[in-house]
Amino acid sequence: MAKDSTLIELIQGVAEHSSRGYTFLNNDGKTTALTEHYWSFPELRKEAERRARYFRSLGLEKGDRLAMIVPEGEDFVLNFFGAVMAGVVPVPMYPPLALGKLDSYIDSAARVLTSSGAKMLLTTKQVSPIVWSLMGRVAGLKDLLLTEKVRDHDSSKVTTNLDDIHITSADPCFLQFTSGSTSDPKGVIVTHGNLCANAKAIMIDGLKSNGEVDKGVSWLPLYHDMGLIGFVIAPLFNGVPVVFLPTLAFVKRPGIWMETVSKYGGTITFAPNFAFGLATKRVTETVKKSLKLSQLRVLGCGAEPINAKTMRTFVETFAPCGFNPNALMPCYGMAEATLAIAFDDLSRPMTSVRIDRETYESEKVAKLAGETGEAIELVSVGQSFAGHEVAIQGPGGELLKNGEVGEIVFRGPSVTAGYFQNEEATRALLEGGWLHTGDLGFQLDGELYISGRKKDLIILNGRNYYPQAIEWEVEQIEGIRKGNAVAFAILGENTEELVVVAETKVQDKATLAEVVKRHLQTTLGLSAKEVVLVGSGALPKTSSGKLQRQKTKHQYESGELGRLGNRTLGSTSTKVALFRHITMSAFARIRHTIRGSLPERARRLASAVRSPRQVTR
Amino acid sequence: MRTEEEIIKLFKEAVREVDHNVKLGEMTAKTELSAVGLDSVMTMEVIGVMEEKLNVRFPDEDLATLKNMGDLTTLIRKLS
Repeated sequence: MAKDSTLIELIQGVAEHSSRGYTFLNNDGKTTALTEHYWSFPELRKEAERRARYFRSLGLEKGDRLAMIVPEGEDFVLNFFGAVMAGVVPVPMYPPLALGKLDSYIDSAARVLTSSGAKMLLTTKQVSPIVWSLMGRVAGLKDLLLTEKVRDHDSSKVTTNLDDIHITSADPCFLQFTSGSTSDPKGVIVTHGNLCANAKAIMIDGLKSNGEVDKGVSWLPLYHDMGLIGFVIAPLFNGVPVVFLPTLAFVKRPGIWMETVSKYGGTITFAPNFAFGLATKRVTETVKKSLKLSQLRVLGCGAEPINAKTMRTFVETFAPCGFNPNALMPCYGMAEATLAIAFDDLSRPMTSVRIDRETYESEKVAKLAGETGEAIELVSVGQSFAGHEVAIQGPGGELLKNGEVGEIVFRGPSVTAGYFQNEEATRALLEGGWLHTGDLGFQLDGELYISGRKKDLIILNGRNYYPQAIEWEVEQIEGIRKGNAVAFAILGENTEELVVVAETKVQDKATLAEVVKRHLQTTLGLSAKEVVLVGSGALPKTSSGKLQRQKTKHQYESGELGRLGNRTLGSTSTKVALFRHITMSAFARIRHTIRGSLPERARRLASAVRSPRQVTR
Repeated sequence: MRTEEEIIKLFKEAVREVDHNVKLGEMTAKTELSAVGLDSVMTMEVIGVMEEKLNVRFPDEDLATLKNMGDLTTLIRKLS
């Protein structure tokens, strides 16, 4: 049997490093103080095997899905490893955290449970009253199991052994569902082989890590790929010790992230862009004086668009603490690629290019900007790893050259086998032997830059949302025309920001807009940056009546939204005035946001002007 | 025991500490937390500031069921 071809072998192998392990900082008490629980790697292996035998004794077989709603890191990791050792396929799910949005939480949890075909749901005593109602709602879900019961079971009474479990690298290890709300959740199949390939790519090619000197620090949620694969699974590859903080402890008190790095001598830590903004925002001079960050070798940034300005502010803020600018490492990845696709080079500071906006938009080519003209600043996410390949594809599937903009595609042993029991989506994802990321970008001198997104996905504070789910909620509100709401994201300072545009016949649009904002807060926990209400027929649609999100976004950004539907544009002079308006607004548009070219927009406008749908009220 | 007014005052102070640009209107026990105008991350930051000021920790599962300022008051009284 090849060594290190399954996660089971990684867990067994890491037990050789008896002087290292995982430290969990837990919220046990009545105050915010954290208590430390240390598990050496051999102890972790032993406990995982003990739990694995218990899972088998409950009737869980190889390949059965075990859904997990387990908020605490220690509990999560021990049960996750236990399930994997038993050949069971865990399905990590996010816990109920949002305030007073339990109904929508239960709905989306039910959809994930159904889609994964989970046999059992593992959760904690404290969470169980909230999720109990799922038991009657999901066909095939046989039992709810408490982590306390797994932890406290009497192992002397369990006679099952693990000898008959034969797992190969092609077997699914776990299912990764996207973290945001979606009406049609898809579970990414992460195989054992995927994990081993990506773990090696991360720990060796990307981080050049060494278990004897490195130490990871993470507050990332473990139901998300960056936290689970990056800090729970990949470090097993070479036995890098990790300190885990509760996610909520960071969100409640962002300063704790760098404090923990300093206190434990962390050398590797990762987070999405928004967290860099939070960590910088409220740090005081006194706190900065006490922080020691010179040993921090890798500060990775990924999972959402990277804003160069946020990164620079972070570097400046923490420079007095000894923070080394070379440590900042923009990276790119996604669950469908297991986790990592490309990492920036660690031996240099963050690198960015300023490309000419006009050439980018009109010719779909990235050309370095000159002194004049508008520029877009994009951060390099470096290169992919040994045995993997990144390329840029044009609309016809052809591979594009240096500087040409198209869809980022990826291939190699880290690419998923597909979506669980969803052949149609899998075919589209893996067409032509490449993983289609849905992201737009280009390569310049072998380095990858992400410049936009083909899909309509919205990423808010590191979580993915499909616009359909948001639009559906908006349409439930009285006064909003059914089937006439559009949600999209624009790039804000620290994260993307949500904009909703909807049609209404109601006169008092300001009051209704407030109602929409509040509704989104209550149901999905989202705060929209702006809700724009327009008259009937003002939203752009295709000839077959389908909503056009990208087009609505272009109209929003150029300020032409809703103006077209309420007037008849007959005379040439009015059209000229409108074209000028669009041209002028090109200079006032939101920074970093990439949109269609001016001639393209003019064509769209002209067709909108002609459409009878746009001029009737 | 803290009065409702005191807790609302404390909440408002915490919001200002997290982001002084947020405009807060009149608040009562019935004011829904989701209607205050904070996104989910900011709401948790505000909760974090309140925890520090009160030297308590709001258990995660209790946070999941909080709806309005009255619930927050009840929770704080239960914990202190």
